[in-house]
Amino acid sequence: MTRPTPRDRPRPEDTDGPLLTAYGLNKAFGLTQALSTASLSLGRGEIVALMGPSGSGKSTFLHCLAGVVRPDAGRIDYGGVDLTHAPDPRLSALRRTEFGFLFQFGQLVPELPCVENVALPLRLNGQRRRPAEREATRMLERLDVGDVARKRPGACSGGQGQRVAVARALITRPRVVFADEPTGALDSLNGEKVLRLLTDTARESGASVVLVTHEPRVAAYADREVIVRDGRTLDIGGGR
Amino acid sequence: MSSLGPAFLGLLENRPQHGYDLKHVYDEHFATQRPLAYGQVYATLSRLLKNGLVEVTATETGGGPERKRYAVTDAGVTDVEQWLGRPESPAPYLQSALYTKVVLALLTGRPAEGILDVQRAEHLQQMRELTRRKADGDLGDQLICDHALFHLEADLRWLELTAARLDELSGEVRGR
Amino acid sequence: MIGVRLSLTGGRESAVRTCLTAVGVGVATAMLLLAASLPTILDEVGERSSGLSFRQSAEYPQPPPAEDTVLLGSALANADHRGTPVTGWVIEPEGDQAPLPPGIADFPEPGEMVVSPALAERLADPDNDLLQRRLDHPVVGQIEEEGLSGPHELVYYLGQEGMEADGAGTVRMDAFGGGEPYRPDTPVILLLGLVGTVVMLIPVVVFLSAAVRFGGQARDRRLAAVRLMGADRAATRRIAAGETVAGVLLGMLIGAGFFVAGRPIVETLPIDDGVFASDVVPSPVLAAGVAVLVPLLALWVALLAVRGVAVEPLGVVRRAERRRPRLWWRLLLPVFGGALLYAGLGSFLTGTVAVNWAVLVSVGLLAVLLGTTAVLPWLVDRAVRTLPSSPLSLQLARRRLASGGDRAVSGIVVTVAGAIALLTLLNGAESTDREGVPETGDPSVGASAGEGPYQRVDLSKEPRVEDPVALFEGEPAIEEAVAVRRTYAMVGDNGGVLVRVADCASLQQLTDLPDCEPGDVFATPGAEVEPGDVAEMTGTEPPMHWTVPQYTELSSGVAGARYGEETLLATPEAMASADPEVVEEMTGAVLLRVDESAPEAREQMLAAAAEVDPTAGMEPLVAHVGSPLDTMKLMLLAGAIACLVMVVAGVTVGTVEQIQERRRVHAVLTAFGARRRTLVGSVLWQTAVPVALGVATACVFGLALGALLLGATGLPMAFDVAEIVTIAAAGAGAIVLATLLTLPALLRTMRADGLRSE
Repeated sequence: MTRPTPRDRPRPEDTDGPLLTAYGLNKAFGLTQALSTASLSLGRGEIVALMGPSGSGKSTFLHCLAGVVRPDAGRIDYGGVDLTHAPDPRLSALRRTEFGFLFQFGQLVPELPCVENVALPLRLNGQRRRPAEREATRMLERLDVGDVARKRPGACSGGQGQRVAVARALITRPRVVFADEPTGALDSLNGEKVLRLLTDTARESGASVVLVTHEPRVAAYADREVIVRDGRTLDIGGGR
Repeated sequence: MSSLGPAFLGLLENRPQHGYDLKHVYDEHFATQRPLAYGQVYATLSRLLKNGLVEVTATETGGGPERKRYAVTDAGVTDVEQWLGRPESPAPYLQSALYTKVVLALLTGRPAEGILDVQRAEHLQQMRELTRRKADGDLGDQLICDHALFHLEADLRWLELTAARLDELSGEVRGR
Repeated sequence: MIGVRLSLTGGRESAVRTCLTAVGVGVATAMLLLAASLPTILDEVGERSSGLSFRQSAEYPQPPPAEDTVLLGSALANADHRGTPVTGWVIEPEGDQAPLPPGIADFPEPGEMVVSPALAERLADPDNDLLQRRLDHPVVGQIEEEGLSGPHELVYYLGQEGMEADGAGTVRMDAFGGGEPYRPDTPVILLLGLVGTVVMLIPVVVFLSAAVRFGGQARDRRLAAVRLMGADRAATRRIAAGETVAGVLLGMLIGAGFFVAGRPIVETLPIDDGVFASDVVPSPVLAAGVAVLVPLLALWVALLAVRGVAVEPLGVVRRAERRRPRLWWRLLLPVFGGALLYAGLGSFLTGTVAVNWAVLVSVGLLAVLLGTTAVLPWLVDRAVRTLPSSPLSLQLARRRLASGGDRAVSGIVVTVAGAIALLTLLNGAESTDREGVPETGDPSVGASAGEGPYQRVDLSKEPRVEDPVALFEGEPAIEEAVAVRRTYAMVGDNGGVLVRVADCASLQQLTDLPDCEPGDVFATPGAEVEPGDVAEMTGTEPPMHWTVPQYTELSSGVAGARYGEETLLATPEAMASADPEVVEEMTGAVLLRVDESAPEAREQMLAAAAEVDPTAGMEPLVAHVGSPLDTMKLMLLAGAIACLVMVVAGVTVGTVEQIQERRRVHAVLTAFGARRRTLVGSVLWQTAVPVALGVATACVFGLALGALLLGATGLPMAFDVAEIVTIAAAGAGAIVLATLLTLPALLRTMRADGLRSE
């Protein structure tokens, strides 16, 4: 798929091999060792589920992969960029342009109407307000929540809110979407809808998805799963 | 299959049908793995006929085999209603084979975690296929796939729990 | 009670919160107690000063000399030390039972003195060598509190012998005290005091209610949980009240502690003569009022805050769209206040005290000032709608502003508006002060051009030195000294003229004389005596009579005379017609021309004067002795600063809390790659917009209020732009400071820790 946004940096397409690789990540919060030697290789357009019990370190792993948290040791390579040592502005820029995020709850800015929430990543990229919001409105309509565009998140149902969040995660046409228990606060039906939207849109645009979940039914939307246990990764789930 | 009779009665409630059509409608809605055998269809229908739950409304003889058109009787409708209203006895569904494997592995000092992980991978593989089929199928397919998915998930939950309790379990098994 | 337990045992966080509330309430309580002490302070100061106004209370006619009488006269009247008035007394007991002035243990022996502690301190300072020279007498004791109107008062009693009572400069007394208590009865000063008190107390109350709400959002969530668990409305309110009570009661104890501990600080405040710590005692009624009102106000605020929770448990979680603020009722408040003010001040001026004008004015002020804060949300709402949406930080701030008012700014707005109104009133009062008093002015009217004005030292008795003129002229800053004798010649019932007697050479120094022979008399223009009039000389014992001789009329005035002060200049020989001794009987004076630009010029003059005659008097008064209005300005400034500090404290705590609330949102935005400057910018905008509007509103309302006060009291309009800008800037600066103080907390929320689930 061609991407309409012109960019001046070398794109991950320019290199061969996996899009995102992490090797031997360690991360401790105080005395708690959240990650030890966690590794992952994410292919282009691949959807990987990170599974594991609560407190296994899967969220921390996701944060490291996305360049939100800097690991204590190890190496993360995204399209030739070493995320473990990249300066903070570089990481922020990467997150703004290449990554999308989806969380379980509390992610929409409560004061902003939904459409402004969705337009936010575009605005962070320096786009002007009107075109950004036009694009956001189209995205919301595509996800079947065009009617809540002018409402505030507080006035939306949980399912609507999460779909708005999906729209926001995908608005920049990211290469990788990081989703942390995206359906954790939803019932089965709404959860399925959100997951369908997320995975379908991601597959359409060729985006990769890292999906943190403890629910097998959610993990089943992925191409393969990686088990995280006590901060270690067990990559035994075979894909096709 | 104990639900075959009531299913036929329910399908006949909409309109009288030939046995052949009945099989196709059933296959369309319920047969997930393999289609019904004709023998099974006619055996079931004759049992229902014998019990007075269906009746033959017309018999067509043409070039081919004799074709009977079946309709549901009042008794048959009552029977469907009773069947629908009766809860299924919740059979304690134990993964007996898996359970045996796990306990055996622990008793013989083999790593049970590995067994669980392999099993989980297997389960998830199947769940992925069901999810994929669900995406392409109609509502009936979705319902069936969901049913299977929830069951598989239940299995997996048990596996997860077991994995979490392995320490506890191994102590108990050894102590016995 | 669950609430009390929750607030005390709810872990570290809730303990911290309770402590913050307690400290906040404590500070506010202490301030209120201080305000409650004002009546006592005024009473005490008045009481004491009544015992100290000796001249007023001296009996007339004077009692005869007896064992129980004392002679008292002023020493170096109108003297000051570096602008602070120094009151000096000479004293001589006439018998063993002579009454002691208040605060003094023993009469000083002649030549010794008893001084106030503040004066003793100044005397001990080696920098004040001229003061030491002026009061070069051994100090034998200190004046106790009951003999002083304040701790900073500079006063001394100098023992003397051979004093003579004249009923004017020196009085005979058989008792001290009994004078009228001093009351600040100038209406404008009273009004200023009232306005000042109200203006300063509002921020205290704003701060108090902010303090009660510390940790409010966390508490709302907790209460919502309790409510979901099944507590009914009443129970929820009780728990909320209980939680508040613990902090408030603790706070009131702390407040009492602050108050007791802070009283000595009051003593150091440079207000007038100062206030003794022991005078700072709350009036019982007002103290009881504070004790009742503080918890009531706190409870009211707490219950108001949980209203939403009590009605709908999920109200905290899910906030409905806010209704847009409407203007009309918000304007009612200030209009109502303005009407009350006008009504109150009208009766205050005309003196028809049908209603208590103080109450009307206080309520009116409160209504206007609180109305200012009521108008603000409407203004912010309006502004938010017109603001552009770029950059993104401004868009975020706009949306956030549109979804909730900012109480923090209200405190600033009230303080700034009140301070501006007060300043305006002060300026108006000050300008009448300047215009109202006739020109005491130019002591050198008619003197040759280019020469500085003359100062005058009145000698009450014969100089102790042989040549006072030489002594004065020995001081570096004194350019010229002229010794004269002076008296007042009364003609008829109310006519008369000042007579100055000196030899021709001295007279020539004072003005341009055509030519002078011993026996000549000269008169300034407009002297209302005719040659041949028989004048009675005052200040001589017994009164002597003098026939005004033929005189030469001068074309100009005389140096050292006040404007309009007609003078006869006479050579001693011309006076001999009354009595050969008359000149000796007349009061001596030395006219001095001083180089005002020289440092310590006045100190040198005073020191020399004391050397010549310790009981001399200075004329005129030093120019820059602080007026009560200057003092009030200082107090206003101090009060405004104290208020702003409190507001900054309240705002900081509140904002840090809000930021904690938004930790997750900030973390998510950071994950999305938001730059720091975007988020910091949004917080700054969010502060800057209401502050700018608030300060502007405060200026408008403050000026309007000031103009209203001035108009109602008939004072001239006088606005000091620089002062208004200063106060407005201080208010804005306070908020900026508070925002900067919260930045570290904001930057902390921009880390990924916020992403970890709660």
